[in-house]
Amino acid sequence: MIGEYMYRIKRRKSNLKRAAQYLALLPFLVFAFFPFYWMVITSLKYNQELYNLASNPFTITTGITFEHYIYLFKKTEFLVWFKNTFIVALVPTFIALVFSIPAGYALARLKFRWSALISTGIFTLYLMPPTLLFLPLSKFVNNLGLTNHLGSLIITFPTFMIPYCILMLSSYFRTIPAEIEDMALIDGCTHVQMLYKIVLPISKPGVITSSFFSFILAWDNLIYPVTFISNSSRKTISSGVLTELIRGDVYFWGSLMAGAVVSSIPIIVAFVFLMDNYVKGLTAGSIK
Amino acid sequence: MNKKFLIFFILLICSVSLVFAAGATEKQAPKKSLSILMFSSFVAENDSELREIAKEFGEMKGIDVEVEFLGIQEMYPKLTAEVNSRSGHDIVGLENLQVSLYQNALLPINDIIEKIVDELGEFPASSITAVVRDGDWKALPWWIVPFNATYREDLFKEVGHAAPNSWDDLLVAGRALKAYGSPIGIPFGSCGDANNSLYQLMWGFGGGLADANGKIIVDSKETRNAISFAKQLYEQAMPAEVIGWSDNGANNNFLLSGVGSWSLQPISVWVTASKNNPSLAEKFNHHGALEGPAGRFGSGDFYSLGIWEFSPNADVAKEFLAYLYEKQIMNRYLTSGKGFNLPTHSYYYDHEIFSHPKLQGLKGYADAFRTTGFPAPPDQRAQDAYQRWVVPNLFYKVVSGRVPMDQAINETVKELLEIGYTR
Amino acid sequence: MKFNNALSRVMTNQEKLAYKLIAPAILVLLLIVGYPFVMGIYLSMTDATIGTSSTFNGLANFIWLAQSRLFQTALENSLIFTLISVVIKFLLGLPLALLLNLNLKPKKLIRGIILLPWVIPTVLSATAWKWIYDPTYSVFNWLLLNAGLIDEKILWLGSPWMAKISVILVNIWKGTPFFAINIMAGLMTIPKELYEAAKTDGANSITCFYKITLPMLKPVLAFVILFSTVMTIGDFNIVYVISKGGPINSTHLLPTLAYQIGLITGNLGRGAATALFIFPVLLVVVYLQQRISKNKNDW
Repeated sequence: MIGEYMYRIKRRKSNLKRAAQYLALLPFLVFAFFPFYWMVITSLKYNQELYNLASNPFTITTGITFEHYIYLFKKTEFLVWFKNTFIVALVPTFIALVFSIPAGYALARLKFRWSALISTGIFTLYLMPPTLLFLPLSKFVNNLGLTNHLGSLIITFPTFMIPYCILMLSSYFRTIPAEIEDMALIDGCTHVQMLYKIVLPISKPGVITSSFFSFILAWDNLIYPVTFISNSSRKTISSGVLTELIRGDVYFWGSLMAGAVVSSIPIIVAFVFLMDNYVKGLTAGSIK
Repeated sequence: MNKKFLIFFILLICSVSLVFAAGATEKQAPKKSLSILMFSSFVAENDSELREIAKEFGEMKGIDVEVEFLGIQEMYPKLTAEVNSRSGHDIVGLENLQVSLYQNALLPINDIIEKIVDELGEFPASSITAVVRDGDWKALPWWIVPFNATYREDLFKEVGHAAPNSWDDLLVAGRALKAYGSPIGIPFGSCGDANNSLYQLMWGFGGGLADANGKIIVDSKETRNAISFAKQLYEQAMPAEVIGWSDNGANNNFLLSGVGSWSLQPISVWVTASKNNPSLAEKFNHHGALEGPAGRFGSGDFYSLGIWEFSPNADVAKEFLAYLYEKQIMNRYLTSGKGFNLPTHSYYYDHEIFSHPKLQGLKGYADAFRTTGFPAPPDQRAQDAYQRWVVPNLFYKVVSGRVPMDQAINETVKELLEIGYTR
Repeated sequence: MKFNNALSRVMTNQEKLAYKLIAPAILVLLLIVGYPFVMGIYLSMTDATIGTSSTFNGLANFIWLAQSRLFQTALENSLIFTLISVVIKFLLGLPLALLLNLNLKPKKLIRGIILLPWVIPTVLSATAWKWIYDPTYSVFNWLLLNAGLIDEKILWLGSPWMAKISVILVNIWKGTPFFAINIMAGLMTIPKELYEAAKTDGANSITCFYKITLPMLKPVLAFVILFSTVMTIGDFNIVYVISKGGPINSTHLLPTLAYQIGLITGNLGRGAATALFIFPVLLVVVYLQQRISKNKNDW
């Protein structure tokens, strides 16, 4: 009897705790979500309602319309831009990972002179603002004959992705307790084996997160695509949208917001599922 | 491990070479070609018409013609990059003083201009100021977006006024309109619309930043009169929130929401309203430049086409520019613009599109039009002053009451000195 | 040469290995961006304008800038903007990461929502915020007016201070997910056994946080804060889309000013100098940060 009573109190306490946690999370969710919610609503609203001063920005009262999405897909090359942006974000991310994982590990775990200097040097390349770097880079890209080709972005994006990934990954690698690695070394493992068999699997969340954020750096980039590519079929989302959907002071709000919705949901879904599937039960048993 | 590295490196070199090779082969195109970089127009149909015209030209001459578009703002980095690497498109679209920015890289086209002048007559003064540098025509004047007024005819009638003809008329009508609940408004923030609105107001009163020799005149009596008038206009005819207008869309929204009765704004508001709110659109009309104590002055954006002097296809490019000015081509292009593009050459002033009742007010605006920086020369300093928002900042400070007139003018003088004007 | 001392052999082998692992990355970077990087620095020390030949003028640009009122304003704005933004993003991101790590259901939906600000292309989200701040149609004003919290419209971009706050708010909205998700990933890397061991030793959650979580997170926190600082100082898109530096230069940041000076008014040399002005400072900060974290981890 008393046991059951105690059990119920504990349940209630943990329920309260759970409720408090959700409550704490709520303002963050609202803050993150409400502009997006407004974007979705606007993308489905008739323009008359949007410009009607009396209308509620968060609801649709005169009916849902898909005309903005149709305009986006039919009258602009948005889907092509989406495909382009996806390619120029994904391929360089893989390229960056290939170079950054070993380098990040070296900086995190191996002792050698000048490691601080080298990591600073790598980071320096990231410090150079793209609004300056783009000018000499565009000359370089032009000399390679890559102007107006996706290749121009595929080779230039790694220049900021690699420094970012190296340093981000090395910080995740450093989070792994050294005991794990010491024990592996004692067991006769080489550093490289340890990198692939132990460090990488444990730091999967870090690797996925670093690659994801690198991907987004490229996904979001504006100045390189604008400078290197002027052909509409090879533009990225940001560049294409600025050309076609903002003409002088006329904003195609509905289609712009439709573009925002379409260019974010697939990426988020992909990342969230990736995180979920690859990271199950990962820290359990790591020390064992 | 070493073997793995070796394989990896070989693969890397191979893929890198493939990337370069893919680019390199496409560069060597055998056929003569023409590539045009244009900014995307306010009216999408303009762009498609240009594509059509270019295609026809290409078929006629047996060459590949390609037209590509970028947003107006994004043209800056792209054009700079092309000049810097001395390669890119052949013909480029230019806005306002970009002609001055890139003047050393633009091919003089005096021969083409001569042909046009022989056919159609001389270009007006505004065109000459806009594109002639050191005696050479650096670009082909193409069209102007005038900064005329968009106003609510019905509301003006309500308060017993006709469309204003002078700045004073505007003040009188504005008082009545504000009392009626439908005030007027112009932006004072850091945006192109503020530049365009305030420059023409300043000129109307005889003010300016610097004169034709680059000597600073912003502290003149005339400029002070202009600023005082603007303050009066703001306090008596505009809602307080106008001082918070920070971008080109603010006055559009002011009019589109039905609240505003007058603003300086090209026909884009009327066009947008025609699509979304036809009953409101019906009530809009447009009128031309207002008269001030010093004369009738208008502003706007001047668009031209230039040829890069490093273009390998300069001769074909010149032919295309001449082709654009042929009567049937220019008429087609103006029609597709639906009134947005005011022709720069007086020959085309009477194009049929301006007989539309709502567009009559725009006729002849090009005569009142002055280029950026007037009366100072249209050089890099004028561009600097324009892009630093010198005029909007000056007016904003005094009109909002943040800074007294003298101090604001002193600060402006300092800034102009920094820009390169002289005392 | 032979090394008889086993320890020194390990050291040298480690060094050799380290260089082997890092060399490819450095090679690639130098190949692509080495020359442009040097050119960029060189450009800042010339009087280059578009389309003309330039002459070297040493630090003249930097000296000119330091005396320019406009530059001083932009520098001040950049520093305030970065400081406030990064601090708030950190203060919001850390608790958010802890909450995310609790794996509350629906887990995927919650993480997805939190990520939205970061994933929407900045050009599009900044444009949306433009409408949210619009003088006539502002969504915020609509909410506040209808809730009876204000009587008059707030001009979000209408005065220097309001504009600063508004732009900072957008940066915080966009950047908090970066903190939250990266820290969350760091939290996931901490082995659960550490917490289990501490709990059996009688520690409560607060002690766990201070004695286990924070110390283990230090490398990730250090880098996230560093990156965020660099990204925020270089933030260009938001001001470019929303305020273009106004009103009266109150939201001009170094990158937007550099863009205006270099590309729009054609003063390439000076524009480059503007962009690189705080480069040496950042360099020193990064180097120090690297030394400190290296030392901390030599167990």
